[in-house]
Amino acid sequence: MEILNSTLVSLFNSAIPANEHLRKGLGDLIKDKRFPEIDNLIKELLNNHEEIMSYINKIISHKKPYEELDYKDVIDQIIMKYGKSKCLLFTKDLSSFCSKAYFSNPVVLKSYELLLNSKQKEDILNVEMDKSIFSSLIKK
Amino acid sequence: MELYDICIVGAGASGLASAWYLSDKGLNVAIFEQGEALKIDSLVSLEDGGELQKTKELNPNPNIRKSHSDYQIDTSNSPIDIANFNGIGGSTVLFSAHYPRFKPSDFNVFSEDGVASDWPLNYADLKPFYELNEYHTGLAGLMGDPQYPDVIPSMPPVPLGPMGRKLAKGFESLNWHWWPAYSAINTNNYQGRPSDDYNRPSNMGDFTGSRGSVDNTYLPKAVSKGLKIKENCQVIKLIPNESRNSIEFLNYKDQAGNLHFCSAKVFIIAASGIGTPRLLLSSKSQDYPNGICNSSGQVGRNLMLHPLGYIEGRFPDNIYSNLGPQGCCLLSQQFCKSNSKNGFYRGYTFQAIRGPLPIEAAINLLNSKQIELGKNFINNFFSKYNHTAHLAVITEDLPEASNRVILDPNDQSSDNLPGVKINYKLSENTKKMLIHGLGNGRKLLKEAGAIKTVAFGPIRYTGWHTLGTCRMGNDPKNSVVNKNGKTHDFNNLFIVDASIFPTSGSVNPASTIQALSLYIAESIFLKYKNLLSN
Repeated sequence: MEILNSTLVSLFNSAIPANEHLRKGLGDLIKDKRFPEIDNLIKELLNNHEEIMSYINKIISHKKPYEELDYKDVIDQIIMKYGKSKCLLFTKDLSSFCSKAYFSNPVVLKSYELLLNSKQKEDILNVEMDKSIFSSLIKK
Repeated sequence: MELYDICIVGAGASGLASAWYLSDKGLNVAIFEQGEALKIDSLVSLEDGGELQKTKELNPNPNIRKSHSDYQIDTSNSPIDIANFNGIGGSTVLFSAHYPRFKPSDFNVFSEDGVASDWPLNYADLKPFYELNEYHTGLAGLMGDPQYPDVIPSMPPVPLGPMGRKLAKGFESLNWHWWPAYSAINTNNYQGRPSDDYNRPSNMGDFTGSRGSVDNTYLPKAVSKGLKIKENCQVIKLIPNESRNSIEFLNYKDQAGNLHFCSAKVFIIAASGIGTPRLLLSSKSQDYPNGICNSSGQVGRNLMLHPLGYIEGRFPDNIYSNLGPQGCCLLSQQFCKSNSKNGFYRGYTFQAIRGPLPIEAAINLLNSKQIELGKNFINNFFSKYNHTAHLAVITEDLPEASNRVILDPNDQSSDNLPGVKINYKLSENTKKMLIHGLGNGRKLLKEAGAIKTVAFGPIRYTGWHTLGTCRMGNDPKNSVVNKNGKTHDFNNLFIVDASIFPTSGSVNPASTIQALSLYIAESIFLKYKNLLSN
């Protein structure tokens, strides 16, 4: 059964939206290319927060198709319905999921140049600059 | 039945160092390891999202990792979780490779400060073995450190990077000691192993062989001398002979679940500060109701964990703090000695560490509410990521009998041995030390130019250094092994891991663990020759 339904895509897009560097939010990135590890994490999230997830589904179904989902608005509604402490457990797990899914995505890593190439690393680490610091340290 | 000259339990930092030494002397040595070697092809590159592995199969917490070779450790009575890796290479497979020695004063804590105890050996005893170990492992660093005047690294230091250079300026400005890190990371080609390319943090497994983890250093040398590796073989009991003066057999279970007995002239335990007391306590019988080697009642006691504090400093510019080897940048020993003005005994080391990769950074920032999900997530994340310098305070934890490893008879689920639990509390001395360190860390970061600092500790997930649970001493009434690592209770049973440390120093212990293991291996070969002759 498909686990990544439109509710989840909208929720994940609202958590980490598209921006000027990357024109896709987290939900669309997950939809574009599926990774088994991420699917497992989605299943875990769904299993652990079944009730809240179905409530989010309800919130989204009341939205008009052109209306953008606002993350803060969703969280406020969950707090109103379930209280702060239950919502906190959910947002903690959701934060962990979003961090893992977003920053393990090769498109994300490339778009933000999160992993530098050898030349970039060499230039930034600048061992020559260290050498002069070390030589004055030894002379002290 | 299998019969060897030497049987070693645990193929980690200490076990493989001893295994090499004794194999090299022509002895017939077998090493038992409950896990297996980390397979290179199981590692995912960072470009392909490999950081995700750090949250599961490369997670240092065995309670999260849950591989077939892990046993669960109940830490509900401790503010610190245990970190390790169970497999060939032990915890060095995921270690940060920070590799300083203990200093002479670390062996004389009671003589110098009237607390804890002295080691029954001193720095001079270990010095040749530090040198031998550094030769085999490879040490990157800078000669001339006033805190370590006799250390001669074999390779240049690892790069400071922009973060390290900022911090160095801060130390200079306060006139506090600092020195580039001592690292078991190749900065040149060394003994056939390549220079590190800094493509992967040192605590996420090694594609290239550039780090001085024991699977890269002692393992191939020991195997070439005939060492027999018994991987996926879990030792579940040590069985003494009838006259109760020697160990006769060890009982182990292979991967298929079959039980075997194995005999040797000498048995060496190298299963860590948790695994070693667990095995000794689990080897209880009618004759030994409190476990073996426990006539002193000290097995499992005096657990020291080096409680860590972290100080983070935010800088306006990108200081590429996650670039370079994760645990190695620079260290400061300005506050490592007792000072009557401080209100506590002994002291701490500052260790600059590189920042986490993006997954870990995002989780930390979100959990600490420094950023939140939603519209501004990306902008806020990048205003902090790589803009934050990280400093760790490593406190010299003193031994306390009540801090201990015990068996948990209610937990039989994780493997064949009884479950294990730690009861651990920070002493008042350590708390004061930690607070002092966090305050000075903030001062340093501000001096280095940080616009905002945060400090916190003890850090829950940092219990890498499990020390002291089978301590070494001259008096059999209050120690488990003598100065040669031989257990007081048995003629042919030795312990070589960090469980025998009487005190903890205030630096990462890997270098001292391995030097001590080589020292004991030489003692077995030279001083206990009679055990090997028949």
